[in-house]
Amino acid sequence: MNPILAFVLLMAPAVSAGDTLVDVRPGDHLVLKDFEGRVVVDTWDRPEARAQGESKSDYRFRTTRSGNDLVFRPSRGSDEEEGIRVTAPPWVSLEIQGRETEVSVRGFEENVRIRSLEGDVGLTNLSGSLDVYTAEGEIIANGLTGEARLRTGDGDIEVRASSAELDVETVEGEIRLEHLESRRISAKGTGGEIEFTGRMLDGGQYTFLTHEGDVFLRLVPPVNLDATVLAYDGEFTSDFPVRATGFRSGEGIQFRTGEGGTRLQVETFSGEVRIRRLEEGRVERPAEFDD
Amino acid sequence: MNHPDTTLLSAYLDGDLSPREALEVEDHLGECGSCSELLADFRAIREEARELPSQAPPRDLWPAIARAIQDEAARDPRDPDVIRLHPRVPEKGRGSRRGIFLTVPWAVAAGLVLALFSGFMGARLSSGFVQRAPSVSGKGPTEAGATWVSLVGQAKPELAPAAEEVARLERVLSEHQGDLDSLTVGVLEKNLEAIDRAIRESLAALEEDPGNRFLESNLERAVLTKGEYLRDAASLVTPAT
Amino acid sequence: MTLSPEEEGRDVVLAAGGNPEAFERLYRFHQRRVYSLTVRMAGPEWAEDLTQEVFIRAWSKLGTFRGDSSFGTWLYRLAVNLILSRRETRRRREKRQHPESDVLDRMHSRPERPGVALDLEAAIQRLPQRAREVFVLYEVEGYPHDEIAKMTGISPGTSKSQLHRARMILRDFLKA
Repeated sequence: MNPILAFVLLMAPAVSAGDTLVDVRPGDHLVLKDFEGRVVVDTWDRPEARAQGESKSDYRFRTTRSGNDLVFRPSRGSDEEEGIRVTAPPWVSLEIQGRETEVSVRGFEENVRIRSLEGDVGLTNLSGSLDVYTAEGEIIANGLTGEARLRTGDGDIEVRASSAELDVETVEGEIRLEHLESRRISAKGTGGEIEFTGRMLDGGQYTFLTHEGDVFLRLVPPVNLDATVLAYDGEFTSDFPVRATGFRSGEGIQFRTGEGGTRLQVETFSGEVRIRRLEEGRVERPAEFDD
Repeated sequence: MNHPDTTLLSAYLDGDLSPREALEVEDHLGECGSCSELLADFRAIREEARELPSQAPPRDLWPAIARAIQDEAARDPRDPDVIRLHPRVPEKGRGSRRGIFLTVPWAVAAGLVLALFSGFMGARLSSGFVQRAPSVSGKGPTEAGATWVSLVGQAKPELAPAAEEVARLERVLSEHQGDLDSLTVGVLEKNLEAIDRAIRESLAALEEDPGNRFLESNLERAVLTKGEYLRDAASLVTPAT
Repeated sequence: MTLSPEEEGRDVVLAAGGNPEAFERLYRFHQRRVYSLTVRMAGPEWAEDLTQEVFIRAWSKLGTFRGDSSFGTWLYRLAVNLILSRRETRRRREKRQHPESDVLDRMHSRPERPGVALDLEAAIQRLPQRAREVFVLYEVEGYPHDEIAKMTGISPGTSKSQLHRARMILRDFLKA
C-alpha cells in the first residue's frame, strides 16, 4: 500500500479514513473502541494493521497513534452503527471496548482484553492471556492455549478444544466445557448449569461452583480424583467407584477415585452433581440438556 | 375528600393494615363510590381466582414420565451408587441428626462407614475447609441495604465488612443508573436479582442450620460474587469519551 | 382419580421405596393441579414439558420428603421452584425462536377485540411476568407474601406491590 499514506497517518494524530493500512512494531497495542457493530479481528503475516468498515468499505473512522498504542474509533459525532474489520500480525496485543459490540477475534498470541456491554464474543485460536467480560452476550471459544478469564452476566460460556488455564464465570448463563486438555479450570455460575466433557489431567486442579445449577462432569477414564463435593440440598451420583474419606450431612463429602492426584472441588447449594464415564471418542449430549 | 392510594385498597383486602389504617379506609369507602367499586372488583377477581377449575393436560404425560424414571431408577435414588447430601433437620433442642441418607458404594469398608456416622471423619473434613478473608470495609450501608447487610452480619460477623462494601457499591451504581440505557439496567437488575436470591437462600438455610461451615462459605462466596459483579457493572458506567 | 390421605401416605412410602405403580397413582392424583400451575405461571406452550419435569424431579427427590407437610404441599412447592428456575431457559429459547418480538409486549398487549372482556385465565396469561407469578402464587395457590418473596427472590414489599399491579391490570382486561 501507499507508503506516503501510511506516513501521513503516522504524523496526523487523528485522521478520519476508510480503508487504512498502518505499520505496526513489536510491543504495539491495538485498541478498538466504541464501535456499535461487529468488530472482527484477524491475523496475517505482515507488520501492518489494516482496518476498514465491517460492512461498508467507505466507512470513515479515526485512527490515532500514541507511543505503542494504535487506536481505532468511530469519527467524532458519528452515530453510524457500523463495525470494523482489522487484520494485524499475531504478535500485537489487543483491547476492544464497546457498548453494543459483537466481537470476533482469531489467531493472536498476545494479551487480549475485551469489554462489551451487549454483544456476543467469539474467540478462536488464541495463545495469549485473555480477559473478557460481556454483560449480556455469550462467549464462545475454541482453540485457546494460553490462559483465559471469561465472564458474562447473562450469557452462556462455551469453551471447546482448548488447553488454556480457564477461569470462567457467569451469573445466569450456562457453562459448557468440552474436549479440554487444561490443567487448571475454575468455573462458576449462580443460576445455570455447568457441563464439563473430556479429560481431567493428572495433577490438575478443577473447581466447579454453582448456586442452584447442576454440575455435570463427563470424564474420559482413567479418572484419579481427590475430590470434595459440597452441597446443602444436593445429590451426587458417580459412575466411578468412590472411596469416601470424609462426610458431613448437609455439608458434603470428600472422596478419592482410582489413584487420586487430581484435585476436584465441586460446590453447589441445591444443584445435582453427576460424574459420568465417557468412552473415548464418543460425544453425546445428555437428553436433559437438549433444547 | 382525599382518595387513598389504591395500593391501600389492596392492603386492606389482604388484611395487611393496622386496625387504625383499616378504619380510615372503611370510612373512606363509606363515602366513595369509585373506591368501593375498585375494592369490589378486587374481591371479585380474588373469588374467581380461588375458584378457577384445574386444567387437565391435553394428552397423557405418564408414559414419558415412566420412561424417564425408569432410567433414573437404574441408578438413583434407591441404588447404592447414590450419595444423598441432605440438609440436617434440627429437632427441638437443636443439633440431633435425623435420617442421614448416605449410601456409599463399593470400595468402602464397614469400619469406615461407622466412622462417618460417628462424626469423627466429619471433624477431619471440616479442618480442610478454606477460609477466605473478607474484603476491605466500606462506608455505612444504605437504608435499603441495611436489612440484608445486617442479616449477613448476624449470620457471619466476619462477613459484615464485605457486605457493607457491597452495599456501598450498590449505592454508587444506582446513583449512576441514568448513565446506562434501560436495557442494560434491566440486565443488571436481573442478574443482581439472581445473586440476591442466592444470598437470601444461603441466609435462610443458615438460619435453619447455623454453624454449617459449607453454608457459611457459600454465603461468603455469594456476597463476594455480588461485589465483583457490581464492580464490573460500575466499570461499564464510563463517562462519555 | 382421588386418594384418601391414608392411601396417599402409603403410596408416598411405596414410591420412595422405588415402586412406580404407587408413583403413578400419585401422579394421577396431582397432575391437574400441577399442570394448571404450570399453565398459569409459564403458559400453555411450556406446560407439558414442565409438568413432566416436575414429576420426574419429584421421583428422584422423594427421599428428601420429610413428611412434615402434606405430600401435595411439598410437590407444589417443588413445582413452583422448578417453574421459577426454568424461567431463564424459557426466556432464552423464546428469544431465539422469536428474535424480533418482545415477549413482554406480546404478553401485555390489549386483547385482539377491544370491547370484549377476557376471561380470567386468558387475562392471567397476559400479565407481565413478575406480576403474573405473584398473582398466581398469592391468589390462586395461596402462598403468603413472605414465602413468595423467598421463592422468587424479591422482597415482601415488592410482592405486595406486584400483586396490586396484577389486580389493576386484570381489572382492565376483565372489564368489557
